[in-house]
Amino acid sequence: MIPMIYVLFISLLMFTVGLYGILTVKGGVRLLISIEILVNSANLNIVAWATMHSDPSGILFVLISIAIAAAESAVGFAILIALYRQTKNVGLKSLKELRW
Amino acid sequence: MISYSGLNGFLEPQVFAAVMIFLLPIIIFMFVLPLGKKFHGFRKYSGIVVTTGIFISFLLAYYLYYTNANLYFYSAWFNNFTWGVYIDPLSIAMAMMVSGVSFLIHMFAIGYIGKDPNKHVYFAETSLFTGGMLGVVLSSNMVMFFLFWELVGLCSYLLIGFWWYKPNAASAAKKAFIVTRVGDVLLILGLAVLYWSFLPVVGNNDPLSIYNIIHYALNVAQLPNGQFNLALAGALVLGGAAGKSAQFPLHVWIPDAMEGPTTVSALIHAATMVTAGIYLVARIYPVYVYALPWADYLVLYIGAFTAFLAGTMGLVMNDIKRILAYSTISQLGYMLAALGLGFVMVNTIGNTIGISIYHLIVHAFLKALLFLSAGAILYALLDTRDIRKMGGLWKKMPITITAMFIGALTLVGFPPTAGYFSKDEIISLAYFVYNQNPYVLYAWILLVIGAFLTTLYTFRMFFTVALGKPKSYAAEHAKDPPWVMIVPMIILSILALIFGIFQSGFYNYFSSMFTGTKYAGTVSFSIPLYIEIIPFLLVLLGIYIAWVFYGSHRLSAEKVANGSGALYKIVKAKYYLDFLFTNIIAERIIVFIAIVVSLFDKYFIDGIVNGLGLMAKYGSMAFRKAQTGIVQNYAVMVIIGLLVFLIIGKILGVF
Repeated sequence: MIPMIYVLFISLLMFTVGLYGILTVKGGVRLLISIEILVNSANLNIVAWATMHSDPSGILFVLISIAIAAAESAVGFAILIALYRQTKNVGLKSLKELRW
Repeated sequence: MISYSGLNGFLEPQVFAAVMIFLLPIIIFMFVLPLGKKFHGFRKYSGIVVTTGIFISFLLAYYLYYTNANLYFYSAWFNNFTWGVYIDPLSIAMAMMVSGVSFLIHMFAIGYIGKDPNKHVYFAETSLFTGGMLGVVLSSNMVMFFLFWELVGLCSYLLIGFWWYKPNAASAAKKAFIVTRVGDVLLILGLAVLYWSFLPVVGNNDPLSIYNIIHYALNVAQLPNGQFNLALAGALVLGGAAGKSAQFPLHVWIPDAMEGPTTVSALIHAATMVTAGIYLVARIYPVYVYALPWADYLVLYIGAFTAFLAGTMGLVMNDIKRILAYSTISQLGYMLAALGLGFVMVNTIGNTIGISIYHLIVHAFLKALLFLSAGAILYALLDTRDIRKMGGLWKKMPITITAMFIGALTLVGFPPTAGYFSKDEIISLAYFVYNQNPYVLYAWILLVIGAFLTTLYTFRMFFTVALGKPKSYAAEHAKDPPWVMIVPMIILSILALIFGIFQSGFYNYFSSMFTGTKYAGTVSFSIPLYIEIIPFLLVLLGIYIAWVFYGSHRLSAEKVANGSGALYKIVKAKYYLDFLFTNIIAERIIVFIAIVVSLFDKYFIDGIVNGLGLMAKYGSMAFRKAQTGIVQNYAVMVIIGLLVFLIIGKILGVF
């Protein structure tokens, strides 16, 4: 069995990569990908703990979380498509209209 | 005295009648003004509607008199104040006088103001004016009293400025308003002192109710400093009364107030306004009775001095209405002095309030009569007010001038008329009090000289107007006014002639006001005959002198005027009081203070307010740069904030 701590390190790595992606990417699609990585790092974390405690309820929660992540990326793509129709562009710079 | 309170008390017939007395004219005001504005056809009936309403008020007041009402009704208003009516002989007599004389003046006004296109405004305002004054005399609480008092002041402003397109009238209205406002500031300070000094005695149980003021003044005086507080309150309230009742030095507004319609002058002088101050001092008499003596002497000497001073100014005026205005000031001085005599010598208080109010009522009749006849003259002479342009009117308008003659005789106190019974009583009382108290001597002298001056200026006016030859085209073609204006004059003439027979009955009626109180009982005073007839001899002398100068023209008044040099100039300039108030106090001192205050307001108060606004404005300009609109910047902020909290939590040992 793979030691617990490796799994947690992978989860932390994914979380850091996702966070870095959210803060730095310029394109909308990449932003969504970064968010997915973030969510999956959390999922992996939960699965690891659930396996360690031999408790299936954690895994069930992760299933729900995956479903929500799918829905969320669908909403995100819908926003991006709407943005593209307005500006012919999905760069995050074109989302500046909400400021002063 | 019966006390009522709450709704059940309100449904008591006497209480309901008393409330309706002042409410009815105010309700009529609310209807007449919009109706007259909307329906032009209604305007010519507005006078009749208002006159009828005031006559109903008079009937209600008569009902109170007839049923011998003596009651105190109060109902919850504010936490510490009630509203209600306080009915005793003083308020009933005042209410009957106000509504009765006001009714006659309104009847006259139907003819006098009839051609004015805005007559519905005039009648609505006079109705409100009368309602306000009736409210003043019936109020049971000084706060309610003050509200009606201000209502009267407002209406006087509106009515003096009724012909607002005349610059004189507009400025006279402003002057009347501002000068009485000075008095009102003093009055409200006086009410504050009263409240403060009655609070320890009465507690939170309505300290400014007239009932409590009358019944607990003695307890207040027994407190440490109580007498001083009462004297201070009395002096401040006297200031308010002086503003409304045109006593020295706040009398300056009344002569200018003559710019309004003559019927308004009649209302102000006879019924609705200037008597309010006298009523106020008479209403809270226990305050003065228990105050330190200086407040009492203040009342006495302000009254006596005004009676004298206004008489001298009346001598040199040429405007018929201004002569009457100064005579009003002078007669109000007599009323105030009579009250002051009672305060100085407390065991005569049972007499003096009756004597003072009797003179007030007689004066209301005669002054309404004089103003209405002056109004009839102005009506016939197309608003010529200079007596030097009249002359010979007795032949042209016999009824009017006969009414004026009766008014003049009553004003000077010629024996068979009511004025003899009222004014000479005050002078005799002054001499009687002087026998007990030597400080009153000067008041007596001032009052006697005042009576002489009254005769002199009244008959100077009368002879110049009535005798000789007409001195202008309008005077040659004058004739008596229509019957609607003559009837009130005839009624008032009869009252002025025969009201003297009610003298002792009136005094008895007033002494019943004190039944059951410490002031009950009257003093029967007698003074030597040779003192008592001095005023009468001076009246005869005054009529003779006026006849020599203005009737037969055997001596020339101009020569005397020129011979007296500076004295004539000073009196003619009204003792430079107007100059002092307007050019020195108002334009130098008040304007200087106003500039300082306005600069303070502009740069300090406004500086704070505007500074706060500017701070928000420029601060937001700086901070809104943080709102870039780029989502990732916000995410960075979120993460930095989270880190900061985590670090703080770690340092504090929360985790």
